[in-house]
Amino acid sequence: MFLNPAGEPRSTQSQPIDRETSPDVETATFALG
Amino acid sequence: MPGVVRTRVGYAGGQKESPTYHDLGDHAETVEIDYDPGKVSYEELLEIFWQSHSPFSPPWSRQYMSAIFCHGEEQRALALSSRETAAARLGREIFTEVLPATTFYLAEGYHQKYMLRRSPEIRAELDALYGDPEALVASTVAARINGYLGGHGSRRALEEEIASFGLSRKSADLLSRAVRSTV
Repeated sequence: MFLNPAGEPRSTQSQPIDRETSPDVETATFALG
Repeated sequence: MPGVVRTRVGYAGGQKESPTYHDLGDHAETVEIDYDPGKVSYEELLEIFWQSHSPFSPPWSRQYMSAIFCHGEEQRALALSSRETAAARLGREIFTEVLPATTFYLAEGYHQKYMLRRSPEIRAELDALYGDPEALVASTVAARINGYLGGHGSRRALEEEIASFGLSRKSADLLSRAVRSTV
């Protein structure tokens, strides 16, 4: 399930989708030369 | 790939504040990936890292260094182990540095979502959908479409989630055709 930019569940097809709902998102950072 | 929530390119690893592409200071060009560890592991991302570039040459500038910027001790331990494994598997000296993550500075908009920028029809639709360029750069859907266009993702995976992207039929067909030609 996705959230819109305001953090609300996406309710119509025309709204942007911004984040999955997982509260456990982590970050990885790489430099690829 | 499953579990990738957001991807952004930028600059990190240096001391200079507010770097830009033309005034990078001591930063390296980097990609920042937000991911759901319940769906994709850090080890899997490390595998993609090794497959996605050549770590064999000493960097001729810090801008183009090969590096893993670690967020915490757990990532550092996995990165060091992964580097050791990669060096043994590849049988050559590699020059990838394992460093602590520092402030990540978002690169200019024209550097973001490279593959999506090469698909003008889909990009125009997302531009209209989001309105705000920053929202588009930060969006999960843009990251996932960009990844599929770059060959990271199977047709089956795309089929399972494409309806959730909110694309028009035309853009969905374009994306499906692009993935069929790359995977």
